Amino acid sequence: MSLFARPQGLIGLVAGFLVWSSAFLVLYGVHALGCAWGWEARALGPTSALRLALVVVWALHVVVLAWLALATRRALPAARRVPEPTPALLARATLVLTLAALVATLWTGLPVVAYPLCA
Amino acid sequence: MTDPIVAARRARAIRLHRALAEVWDTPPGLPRLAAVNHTIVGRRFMLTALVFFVAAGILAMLVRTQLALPGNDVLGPEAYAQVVTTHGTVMMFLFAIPFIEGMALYLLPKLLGARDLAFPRLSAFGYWCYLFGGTTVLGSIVFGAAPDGGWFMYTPLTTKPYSPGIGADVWLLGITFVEVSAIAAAVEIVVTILKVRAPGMSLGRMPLMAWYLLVTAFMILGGFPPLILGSILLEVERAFGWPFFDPERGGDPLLWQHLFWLFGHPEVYIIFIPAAGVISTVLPVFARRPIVGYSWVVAAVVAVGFLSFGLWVHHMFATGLPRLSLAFFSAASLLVTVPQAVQIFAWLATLAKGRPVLTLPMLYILGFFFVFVAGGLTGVMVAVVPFDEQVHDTHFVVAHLHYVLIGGFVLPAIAGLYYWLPQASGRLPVFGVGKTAFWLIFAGFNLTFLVMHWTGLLGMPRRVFTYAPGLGWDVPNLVSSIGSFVLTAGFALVALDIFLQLRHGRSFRRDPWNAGTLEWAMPTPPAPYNFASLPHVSHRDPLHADPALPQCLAAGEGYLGRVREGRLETLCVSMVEAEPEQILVLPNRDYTPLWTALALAVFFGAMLAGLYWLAPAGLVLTLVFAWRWAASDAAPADPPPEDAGRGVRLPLHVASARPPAWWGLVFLLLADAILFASLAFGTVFLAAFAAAWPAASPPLLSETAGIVAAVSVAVAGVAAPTAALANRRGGPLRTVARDGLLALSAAASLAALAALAWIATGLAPAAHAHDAVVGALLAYGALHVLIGLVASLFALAQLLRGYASSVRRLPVEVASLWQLYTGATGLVALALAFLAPEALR
Repeated sequence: MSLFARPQGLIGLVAGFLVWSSAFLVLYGVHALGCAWGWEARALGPTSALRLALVVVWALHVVVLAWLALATRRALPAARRVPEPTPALLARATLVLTLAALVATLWTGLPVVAYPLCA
Repeated sequence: MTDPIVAARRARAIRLHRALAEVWDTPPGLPRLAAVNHTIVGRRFMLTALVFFVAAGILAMLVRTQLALPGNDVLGPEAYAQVVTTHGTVMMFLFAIPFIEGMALYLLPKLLGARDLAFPRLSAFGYWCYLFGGTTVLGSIVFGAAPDGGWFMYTPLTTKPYSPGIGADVWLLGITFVEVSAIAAAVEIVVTILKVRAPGMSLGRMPLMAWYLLVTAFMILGGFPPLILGSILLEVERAFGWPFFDPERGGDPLLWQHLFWLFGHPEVYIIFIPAAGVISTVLPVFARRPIVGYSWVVAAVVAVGFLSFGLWVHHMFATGLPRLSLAFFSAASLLVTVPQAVQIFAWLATLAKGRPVLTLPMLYILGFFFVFVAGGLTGVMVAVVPFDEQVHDTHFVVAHLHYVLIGGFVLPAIAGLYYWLPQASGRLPVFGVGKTAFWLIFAGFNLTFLVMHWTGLLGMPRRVFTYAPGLGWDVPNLVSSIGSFVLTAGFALVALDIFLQLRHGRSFRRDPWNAGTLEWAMPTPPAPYNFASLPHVSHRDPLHADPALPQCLAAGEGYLGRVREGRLETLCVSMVEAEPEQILVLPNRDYTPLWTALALAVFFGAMLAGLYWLAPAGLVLTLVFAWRWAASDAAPADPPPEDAGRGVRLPLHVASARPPAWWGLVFLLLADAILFASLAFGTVFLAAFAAAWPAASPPLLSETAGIVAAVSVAVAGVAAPTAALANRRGGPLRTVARDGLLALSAAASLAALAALAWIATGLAPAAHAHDAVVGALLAYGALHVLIGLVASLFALAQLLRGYASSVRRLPVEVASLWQLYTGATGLVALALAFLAPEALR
């Protein structure tokens, strides 16, 4: 039975943007706390500890989303084989939403690469 | 000569109608106070919201009269501040959201092929809360005691030293009372959409309007709790001096802005999304083709729902946050336009591929396109930080928000009103007043607010009660004021048109627009039971797929086409595929919602009057009525499965593993968890960033009491779910264990209450925000432990009296879920109280 014919399929629908929400909140929180704790001033290799922490948080969320998108893509054919229309629709919408969440995470997190940190 | 088969069918339909009407009807007069039927409650919500709209509109006229000329003295500064605050507050909290809720409550069962909502009494309770809270807020202006700190109530202006009157308390308590109603409606909407649909109406066949309302309801569950928390904290500061927002005692005014806008920005989309749902429903009907890109629209709405929560700081661009933080929110603010554009292109494509007819609802939708797209574009402008810093707190922002709210909500709402009024009244319009009204509204609106962008760019700030001549603001203000009166004349004509339609409109048989959705498959105006029997849906537009469906349903040929034992019944289905699962037996004519709301009014009223000793009595009274409410649902024996029609046998909901009430609790706890997360955020925010930390004398918290509290909430949190497990498995030994475990969870709750009180003895909450946030965390835990205690005792009492069993398991499952949640959040609250402030500095 396709995942998208079960109630858990609804969680799949929002999973991508839940990861985006996590990325958004963790980036905002780490940035605020990092500035309060003076991480910007601590050098770590070519960059500061704060920027490195932010880039790691950002990259981890991007990786999770890329994996989710791949998993959804793989589940699509099984959903399309179900004679009822809903599993295919949910699978398609889930894929669109996961890819949108991936792009959204790339876009909203992009400033961590180059923006001034605590100014 | 009439065909005998048709005649027999008609006779059957009339007999069924009479039998159903007898059990579903709510007679006029006093019994209307006990009404819980969704048609009545939904209409009440909408009518009350429209009364508030008229009142707020009159206040807007006062504002525009005052600003029409420089140095005008129609309103003094105090009166102006009250009028402008009440206008914004009433429009946002008492008109827009409740109107949407009313529309959802009225329409959803009809759209979904059900006879009523999942919890009719909850909606009725919500209405009374809304009426009592809203009347308090609006009524305060008559006595010159209205709030005057702006609809966003920024601290420190609204703290006791700077707003010593009762106005801020009216706002905080009145609006929180109204928000109880919003949370109730959101739980109602979510569970109804997910569980109370016609069989066969899988999610892929659900009307788009239901998708929009589902997302909206989840957004209410996510967006309102931060404001409820903020309002509670500010009221506690005002009433008892706990300094959450006082920078001199460890508080921070910016915490209010975070909590307010965590609600405030999603709020804009909570208002817009249902209006977009109206467009996605109405536009394809008049374009004469199904909407283009159904699954894309669903995805876009879900995406908007999430992204709208990532925008709150764009209201705080001028507060001095680091540039990188602003960049996150600026990026998200730009991003949210993409899924909005997807919807707009789907609508345009539907128009392009269809054969559009320019009806009155369509005229308002075309007006929406123009106004909302313009508002969206100025939204992109203010999402860019440097531009926002130029126009922040000017009339440019006032113009932008009115373009978004009137364009995005009011115009589609009028389109929806004209579209569904025949459904509600059974009458079609006869005069062309609606078109004249549209052009007055459209011209008046743009005259008022297009010009207001210019006023803002010329530097006129918001919220000033007057201005000096010669600043270049005279002409645009006068034009805006003239425009606002034209706009008002337009709204007055809409009201006249609706009155004429209701009194003199043409009657019609069914489905005047040739729509495909189920609300048109019933006689109009609708009977209180909606459908004489429930359909099996096999198409997204059931009426287009089977034009004879209304006659079949009326003759009782669908599900539940009978009246049994005088019960009110509808069906529950599985969430995704809509397989029939349960027969949901509904209540009718119950005064409990009114009494419960009145009990809650005692609490809010006592707080407002400063009778703090009386306030707990209101809460206890509310719990007593809640107990009575829950007990009235119980059955004295395990009911057998029953015939639901079309060869299907189903259990009654009381004998089901997961009845709607269980799902209701799940979604209520979701909102509760967000409130708790907001409190945790507030704790971390103050501990890490507030200026006057650490406290000179930090709270003296007993570690022994902390350990006792932690162990107690953990025991209660494990014992109740274990009792539920034993109950599900059944058997004599497990029955004894179940009762023992429930008693243990109640005892552990009592111990936790005592331990939390012990910890609180080490606090001086009025001295410093550190003590205050710890006090708030303990109070949150104590309230949940108290409710957990009541839930465990209730479950035990029902089991011992024979009103619950391993089949009728809801009371035990509710106690289990509540205690589990209380255990988890209790442990986190204790960890935050004991560890966070020190760990974060």
